[in-house]
Amino acid sequence: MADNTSKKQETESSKFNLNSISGVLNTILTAFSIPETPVTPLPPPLIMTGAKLRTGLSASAISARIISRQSEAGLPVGDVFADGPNTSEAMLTIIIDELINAIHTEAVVNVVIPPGISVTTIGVGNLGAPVLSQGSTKTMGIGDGIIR
Amino acid sequence: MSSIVGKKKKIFGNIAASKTLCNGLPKLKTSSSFPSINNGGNSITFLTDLIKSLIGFAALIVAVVDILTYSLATIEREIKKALKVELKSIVSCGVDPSLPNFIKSTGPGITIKVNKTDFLDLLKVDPNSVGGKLSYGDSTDFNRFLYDTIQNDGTPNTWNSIFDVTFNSIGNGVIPNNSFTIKANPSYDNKTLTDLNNDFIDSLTLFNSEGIINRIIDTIYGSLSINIKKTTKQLETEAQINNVIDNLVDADSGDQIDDSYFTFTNDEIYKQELDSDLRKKGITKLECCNKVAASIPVSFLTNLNEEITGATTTSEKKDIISTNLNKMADQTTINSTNKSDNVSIKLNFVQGIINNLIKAIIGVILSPKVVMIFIINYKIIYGQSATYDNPIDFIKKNKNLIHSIMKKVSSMIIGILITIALKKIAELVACSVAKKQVEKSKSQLSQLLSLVGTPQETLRIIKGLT
Repeated sequence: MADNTSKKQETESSKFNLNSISGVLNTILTAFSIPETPVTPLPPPLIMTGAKLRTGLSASAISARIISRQSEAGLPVGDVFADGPNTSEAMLTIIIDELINAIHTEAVVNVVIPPGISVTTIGVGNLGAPVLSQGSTKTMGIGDGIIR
Repeated sequence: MSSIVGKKKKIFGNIAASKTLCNGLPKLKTSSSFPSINNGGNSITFLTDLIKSLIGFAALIVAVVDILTYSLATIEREIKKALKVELKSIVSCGVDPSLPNFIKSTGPGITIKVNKTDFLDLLKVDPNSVGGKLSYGDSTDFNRFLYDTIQNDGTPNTWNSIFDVTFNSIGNGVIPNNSFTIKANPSYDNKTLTDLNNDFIDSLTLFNSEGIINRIIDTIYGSLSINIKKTTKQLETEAQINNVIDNLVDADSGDQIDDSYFTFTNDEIYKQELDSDLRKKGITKLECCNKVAASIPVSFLTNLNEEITGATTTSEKKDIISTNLNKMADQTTINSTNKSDNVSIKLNFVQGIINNLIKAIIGVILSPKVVMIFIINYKIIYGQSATYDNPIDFIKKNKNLIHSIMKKVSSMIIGILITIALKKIAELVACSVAKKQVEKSKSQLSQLLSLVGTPQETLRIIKGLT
């Protein structure tokens, strides 16, 4: 058949029309789009103290763990079972090295602190006596961090 | 990447991802085993590929059996409605809606050469032969009535008090050789052409489950063709019809059906010749596995037809269809050199049935029982010499009818298939959502514990990492 058919532009109403392949495909694709709940935030005091205990990212540790699990995906582990140098392991190590290096040396973390954080301040009153005042931040704060 | 093929790949990708989440590792490959992953607009082929990947042979054959057992009656009703509407629209082009005098019982009648109503030489097959029993319906079939009329040369034969049909093997100056002369029954002398058309369409039995299965199996495996010794010309004509049907099925709802749907490229002509050649030999080549040939001997169809004739309930009929289709599926694997290919071969067998269902139904429309009434109307409107040259010309001149019937049938099949696919996808998505939630909870817990100095080994156990 010569390909000189004229296709009409897909409109919103025809998007789910089962008489057209586009409608069938759109209907099926919609079945996959389930909204997901956002992750529960971690308690800030725990992050403040716990972050200090973290060991940091290690490319070789990650590569080692992946290589030790390769057999789960049916891949040979080590040179003996790979029938010669295990090039997939070598490649995997390069990938992880490069990824971790990029994260360590190129990534940046931008942190936004939302307004409305309660603050307590101590100032000096007219008679020189200390004055306590309470309130909340009115603007958001922005901070930078690096991934370790 | 074009939007259609892109969306198709995205769907298979989503399924692979969901399966990985649910079952651990990906088990789906979008390779040549899914030939519908292209820019084509055939929803049925795509859905059968999708269901094939989702649920496999057993569930797919249940879907096919359900369609063949329960849906054909609804499809026949819808087709009859469409035929009546189309005939009414042809008649409305004429000025006078009453029956013309020449077709009334007192007139000379309408003359139609047999080969202008029987494009595929069905009426040359004896309904009492092995192949004939599988090609005609029961005693209420109009095609069988026409065959009987031909046997009674020169004697009028009455169809359901609607038409009086006479076959003349030897013509005269007015009537050509081998032609039918058709007159309305005297009871219609004072009725309209629309009454005649509607009553005739209502009097027809278009198809039944076994007739459709016979046609489908013949289209794929040539089981009947080899038995009734169809000629190469007949088979090539059928291949051309199937090609046009494929083109029309591929058309999206917004496409305009122009002449390009009825002309063939060199590749298409080559494929038509190849298909005809294989059907003439009563075989098909299996695409999946070492290109070995598969065949289904006509005895499988004979057994199915005899068993269905003896069935008294729908449930009995359903079991017979299911058992026999399973037997035929097994039969297609006997030349397989690798047993691991057998599941693919059987899946392709069931997929072939669904994909050829529309062709089988359109095949009935192109048989004398439906073509006859269209020629009568065509001649009434355009004069006694007007006729359809061949089946492609018939489809072309009635392209809106054929396209609308195909859309109705494909909508029903798509509705059934998409329900099955969505049900399975919903199970997969629900499974993957649940897995994700569990994963999120484990991550939350291990992150919390990591902040209080819990050792990495313990955290890995919580996350299920070995």
